[in-house]
Amino acid sequence: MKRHDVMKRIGAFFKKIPAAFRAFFAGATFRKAMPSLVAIGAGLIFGIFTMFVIWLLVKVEVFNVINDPQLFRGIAKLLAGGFNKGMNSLGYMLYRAAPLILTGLSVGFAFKTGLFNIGAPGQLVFGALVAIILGVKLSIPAPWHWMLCLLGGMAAGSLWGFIIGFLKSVFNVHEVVASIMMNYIAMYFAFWSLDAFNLRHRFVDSITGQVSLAPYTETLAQTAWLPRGLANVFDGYTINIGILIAIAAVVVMYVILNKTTLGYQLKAAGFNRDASKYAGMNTKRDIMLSMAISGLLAGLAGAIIIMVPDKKMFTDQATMSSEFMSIGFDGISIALLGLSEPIGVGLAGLFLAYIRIGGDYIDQANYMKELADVITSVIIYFSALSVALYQFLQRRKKKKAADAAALTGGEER
Amino acid sequence: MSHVIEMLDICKNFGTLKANDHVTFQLREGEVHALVGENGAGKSTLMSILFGLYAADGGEIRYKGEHVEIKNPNDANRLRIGMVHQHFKLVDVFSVTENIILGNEDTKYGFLTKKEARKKIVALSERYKLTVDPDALIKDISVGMQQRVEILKMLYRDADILIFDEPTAVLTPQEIDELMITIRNFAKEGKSIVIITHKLNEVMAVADRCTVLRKGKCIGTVDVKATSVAELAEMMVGRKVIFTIHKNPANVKEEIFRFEHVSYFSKEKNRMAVNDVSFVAKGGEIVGIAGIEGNGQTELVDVITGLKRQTAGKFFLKGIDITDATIRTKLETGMGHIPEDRHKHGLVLDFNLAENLVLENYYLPAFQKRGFIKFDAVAANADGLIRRFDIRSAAGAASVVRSMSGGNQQKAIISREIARDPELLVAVQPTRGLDVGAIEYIHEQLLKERDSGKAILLVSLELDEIMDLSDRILVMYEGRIVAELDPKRTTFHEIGLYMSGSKTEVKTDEAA
Repeated sequence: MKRHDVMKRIGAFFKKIPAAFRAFFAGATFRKAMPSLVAIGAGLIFGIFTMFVIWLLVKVEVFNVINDPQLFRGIAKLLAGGFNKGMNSLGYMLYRAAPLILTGLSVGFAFKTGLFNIGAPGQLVFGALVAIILGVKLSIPAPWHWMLCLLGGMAAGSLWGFIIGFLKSVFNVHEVVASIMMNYIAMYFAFWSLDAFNLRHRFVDSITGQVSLAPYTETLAQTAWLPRGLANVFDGYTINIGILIAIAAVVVMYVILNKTTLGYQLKAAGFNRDASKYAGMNTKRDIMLSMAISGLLAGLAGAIIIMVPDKKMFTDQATMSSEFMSIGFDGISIALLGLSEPIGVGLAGLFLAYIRIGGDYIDQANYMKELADVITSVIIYFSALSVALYQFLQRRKKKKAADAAALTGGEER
Repeated sequence: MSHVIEMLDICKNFGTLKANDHVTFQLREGEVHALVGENGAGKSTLMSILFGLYAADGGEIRYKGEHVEIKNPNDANRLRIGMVHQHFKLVDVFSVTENIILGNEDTKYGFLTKKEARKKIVALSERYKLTVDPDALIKDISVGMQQRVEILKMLYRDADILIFDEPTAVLTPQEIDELMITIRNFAKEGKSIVIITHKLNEVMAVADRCTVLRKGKCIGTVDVKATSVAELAEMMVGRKVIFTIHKNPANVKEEIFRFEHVSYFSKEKNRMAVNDVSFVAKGGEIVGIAGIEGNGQTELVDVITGLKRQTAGKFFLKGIDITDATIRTKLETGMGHIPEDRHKHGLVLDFNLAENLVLENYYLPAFQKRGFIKFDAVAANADGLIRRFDIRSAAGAASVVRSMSGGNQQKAIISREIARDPELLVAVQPTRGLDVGAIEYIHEQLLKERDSGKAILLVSLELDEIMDLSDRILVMYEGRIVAELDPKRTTFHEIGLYMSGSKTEVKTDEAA
């Protein structure tokens, strides 16, 4: 009798599942996320297609390689992403996701408040620079040292963002123009600072005793490394508390945007700056504040990147671009994919890291490492582009409908 | 009499909105045919279809009994159909002649030949008494003159079927009279005219027949001689309309707002948009500001509300100098404003109704605690206002404002402003684009505020609205207040003279 009841309950539970699924797929969250999911699908298909083209070009001997790429193995490796080497690669994925999520939050937050912060790369570099200065120059005990470095990075990024906001609200300089300038200033300022603060690594010739300067910095003092307790959990070397900081940032940004008067005010300005001003909000101050917050997140990302063992900052533009600036620019893709919503950005950052790790492993299927970067970039940017395109079309549709309504007298506007 | 244009069974949908629902419209040769209906009734859509701006989803257009396809305005031009749009389509920095020939230029060896065109334009303007200076730049001539340019543009293209979309909205009463005579002259010459309007006295004055649209449907076509304003209004709205506004005598109290010698120099216009304006507004009265569009009313309001900074002068609210106060301080001192452009300045369309209703006071302790929004209080506030002001929407407080109708959006703004209980309410074009029901409601609310002792500054381009509601009328012309009139003792004609600058009452010494 009792057993029958249990079975019935289990049966009822399983019967409920399809309905729950349907409810989820019909739900508002899913509908909102739909364009991003479709874009990711499109990006993956495009990436796989690129792999196929490369495979084909090798087959018809346009490309000459020693080992022919294995198409299906490559696709499998790519899609396996962060699961390629179990917990180890999963830990590495989380490690790489942290700065991506933070820059995504930075750009996404600015988007939400009606600003295009293309200056995240500069804020990130400046954050990293201040963190490295504090990390190399100071010698204080562990928790205080790395905490101070983090705070320094945040303050630096925040200042860099604030300058852009200041220029916009006081001198009416478009934030995109100011951002691009500030990116270059940050980069060259960093190069100069590495010398000015005497941060470059010194080689001492063992025979002649001559000292020469390396093109890269000293590494941070061990006390400035981010704690790596998570490494035990994930059976890896690299993972640190960066991911926890990123998750905390997601939560904080979610709360700010959705629960506070500050978020309300900044979002109102993002949707309609004129109405906000008319309603008595100080939109000039809001622009500066929102750029400072956006910069803070990017600066934090920069600090997290640098505060690991053996990380150096190089004094050539190519390395600076590929190791620091590009993560700032990834923020734009992530913000687009995550629809600028903190939780969406968190997931988009994880996806990006996931597919990048997958890219790292496709050389095992004889795809060259450089091509792996091409393929993952294709997926990421195609996805981001699809979302951007979707939003563009959506906005045009809205505008058209509004125009039509206006022509019929505006009753439906 | 033969039909020159027949639009049979026309349908046009915008998404789910049926802008034209099986509408039949027949224009006889040589008649003036009025097309009336409320905002959103589908008048402009119907004429846009005739002019080739939109393709109809169903139905047929016949020209002199023959089926025609009008795919774009060029097709319409070929059929000699011309249209004067409500918002003129002129190039500001071009001369009158250049604007008229634009798109229809004569060339010789690849060079423009303007002489012939200019001659033709002068001849046309003399023949129809449409006085224009063919060499003046559009930006330098008055709105009434610009309309004449638009009319000449049609005549230059030998149009026989003339469509006027709300032609009187921007004119003074005198200019309206002139336009009516011009239109009658066209009809006498055998041209066929469609005039889109919602002002019924104009219909009675100029039209032979009248077609009424309501919510996309054709209600009927009537002979104007055999009908009355009341009957047309009933057809238009679908119920009997009360034309007189019940207004108690004003109980004027102490001074609330004082405006002293304020000027504002507009960089865009490169002139004093507001020029040494002074006035007071007292509790319990509605001060109406009349004027043709672009005579400084917008700038005046922007200075009062704080969107623009005055060049000179001072103003006081309840005796407090608020000349250089921030917008928030002005709001807190006791100012409320119903903006001209509700989408740009009044609402955050992507926020929901509840969020919009606290747009000006979200930061007060009633709605927040230590920076966190009290969502319960925000929702309660919204529910209260929705009930009190009968704001209708699909999902109540949670409705996204973008999805609401214009009338309810306006009600939302008005409820928000009135609920803050301001001493001075600045209302700019508060009923623009709304249907009769909403207009009546908003007028009632404004009068109620006045009767409770508030000062109301009403800026409107609708002279009827100014006359009906105001206790005092200030007329603005070229940035100055040229007259202060008592609505009980003045006439449309007199206000019109002041509006057009043909008469000035005050400050003639400075104007000289």
